[in-house]
Amino acid sequence: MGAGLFHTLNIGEHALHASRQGVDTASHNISNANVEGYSRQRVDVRSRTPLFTHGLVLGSGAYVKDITRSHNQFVERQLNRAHQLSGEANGRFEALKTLESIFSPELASGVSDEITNFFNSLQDLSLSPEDMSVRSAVRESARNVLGSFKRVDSEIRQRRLDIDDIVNQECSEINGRLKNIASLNQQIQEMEVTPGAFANDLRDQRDLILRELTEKVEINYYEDEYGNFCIRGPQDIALVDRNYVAEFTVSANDKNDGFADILITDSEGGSKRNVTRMLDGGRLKGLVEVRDNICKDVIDRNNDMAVKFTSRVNEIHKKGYGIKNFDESTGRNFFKPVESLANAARDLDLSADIADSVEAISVAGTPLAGGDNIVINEMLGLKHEKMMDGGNSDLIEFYSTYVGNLGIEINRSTHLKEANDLVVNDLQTQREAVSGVSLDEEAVSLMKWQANFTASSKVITTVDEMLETVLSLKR
Amino acid sequence: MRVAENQRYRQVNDKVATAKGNNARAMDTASSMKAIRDISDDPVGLTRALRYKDQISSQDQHVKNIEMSKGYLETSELAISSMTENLMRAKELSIGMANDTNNAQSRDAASREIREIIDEIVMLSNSNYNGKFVFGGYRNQSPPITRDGDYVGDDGKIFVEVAPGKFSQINVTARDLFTPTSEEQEKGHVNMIHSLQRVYDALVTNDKFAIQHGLSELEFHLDKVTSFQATIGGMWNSINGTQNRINRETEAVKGRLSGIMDADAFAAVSDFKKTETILQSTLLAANKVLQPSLLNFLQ
Repeated sequence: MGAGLFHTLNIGEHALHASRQGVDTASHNISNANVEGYSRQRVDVRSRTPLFTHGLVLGSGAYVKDITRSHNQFVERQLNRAHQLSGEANGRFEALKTLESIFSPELASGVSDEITNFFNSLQDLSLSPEDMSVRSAVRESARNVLGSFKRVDSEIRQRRLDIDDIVNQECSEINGRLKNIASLNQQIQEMEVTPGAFANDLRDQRDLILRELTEKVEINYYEDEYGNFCIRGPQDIALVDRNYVAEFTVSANDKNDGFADILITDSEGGSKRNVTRMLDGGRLKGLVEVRDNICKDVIDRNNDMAVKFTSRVNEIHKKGYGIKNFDESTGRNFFKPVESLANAARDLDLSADIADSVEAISVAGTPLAGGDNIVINEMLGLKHEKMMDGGNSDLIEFYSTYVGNLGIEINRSTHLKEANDLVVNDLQTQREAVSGVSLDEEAVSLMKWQANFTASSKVITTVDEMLETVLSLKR
Repeated sequence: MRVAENQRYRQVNDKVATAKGNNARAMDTASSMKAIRDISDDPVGLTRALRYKDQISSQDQHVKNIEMSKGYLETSELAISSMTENLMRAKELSIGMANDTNNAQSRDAASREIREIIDEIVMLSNSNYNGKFVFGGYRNQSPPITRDGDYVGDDGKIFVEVAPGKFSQINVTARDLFTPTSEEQEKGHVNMIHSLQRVYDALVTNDKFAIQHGLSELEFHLDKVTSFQATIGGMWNSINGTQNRINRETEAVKGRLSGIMDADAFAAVSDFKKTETILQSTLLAANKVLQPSLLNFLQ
């Protein structure tokens, strides 16, 4: 007994099914052509196990073995690694770029300009020590110098706060991503319990979320035998293990001006670990570095300048005598002495004497001598005194050097960002070459399966006619 | 290579964005003609530019200082040269009057002229520049010479910065001009006004020998005044030389600053033109690359 007509009918039916599946998949690909992270799917049609009858091996049609996604794990891993680097570079770049405007060369009232103006007004005072309007101008330009120090200080502090906000936001976004991955882990595991079933679309989603995660924070990951992603983060802390999730929390650190530290409670609910200074990649690292190193450094340098400048001016000013009511008294400060180095620029002010009366400005080296300008001439020397940087640079040199260094830092971060973006772009192209949907290809595929469908239907109508012939044998 | 749909759109987006970005930057430069608009544009150049800006501003101030110093010195110089003329006249008069040919009347007439010369010299000694008495030392807020010729100023030397770290004295220590040092006092010299007063007294009393004695005293002061005049001339020349040097330097520094901060006009415009062309061709290519699809040809 060989295979009957019904066997042929079955072949037709399976072929019909496979062709329809082909059309389905092509449609699915087309509709997802613009979905980010989607990998095109392919129908894997295989020949059925042949029958062995009467010494003959009879083909028994085709069936849909599975639907797979075009996916290159190698490229995917590279892409994740590249995203980690570009995340760090981008975080650094975005944070640094906001600092740039504070020192814009278009600005006419930067620290260096105001210092120049202050010393120029002292020159005027040296020419006319007795002139009240010149004295007022000196006080005004001194206020402007203080103002420029304060402006740098408060602007940088504001930028630090802004960056801190972003750090907070990133942490809560990371938490969201981790939860998403964990729940996708579970769904994928459940769906793939049946052998040969691939949760293609869910896997695409998980890959995409994972990539977003690598951009934010350094991670290592592997897929276990059940298809779960196990993710480890900074300091090898377990972030996702099956559907257990770690949590990122932030807490204000008083030792760091109240800026947020990043703590992780691992996926087993262990104790919180502080990873703020142990990050090794991702946006978080870039942001934290700018916030805690670069901004802090600028603030420190600004304070350093403010302290050295005001205390040196005070030292010399104390030697002098004022005019009118102050022409026999000496030992006055020009600026209010700095109390704490950390807040030096913020707390800057004129001394009470000077704020009250410009007559207290002490220009003369001898009492009762209105035309004496010895003290102010000595003060003029401060402009070129190598008081900064351990005696290596004067005020303007120090300022222009640190602003220049910041510029170099920004420049470097721009180049780094561009380089990393280029790598990501390149890998993205590679990924798209493997996984992206090409509409032309799908159009051909539609045609192919449509033709197949037509032919398969023909098989069924043919069998139908044959059956009719068979049935009509007996009248 | 497989080219996926998404890839093509992404590529077009990227290229257009890059071309537009470059074009916008070139336009920025071409319209502002500034090579450095942000500190990251040229950090090393900026470091130098900040110093140059400071240098230019300081140099402007030094030129201002020098102008004022020159005014101070010129006022002093004018006063001293007038004093010389007056002392010369007094000397001429005394020489004439020391002759036996003159009688009491003519000596009395001469004494009146000496009186005027005394007033004139006191006035000249109290010359001021912008309200500052140039011969007063640090006490330049009040006249340094009294009607009797006593010096009430001090020995303050006023220094003004004329170049970074270079201070020049802009006044003379006038005590030495008007009053004799203790050494000179031992030799019997007296202050300038007193010497004139002696001549005046001698003329009034018609004392020929006293006039001759007063004459040598006048010569002593005339020598002094002439040497002070020379000193002031020297100061003025030195400051003037500094000013010329600063002016030349300022020009040079301004040139250097402009070299860093300003865009090369020709390069800026040609850059803009180039990026504009690139943008246009990119848009054209994008338009072509996005259109064709097999689907357009299927019925």
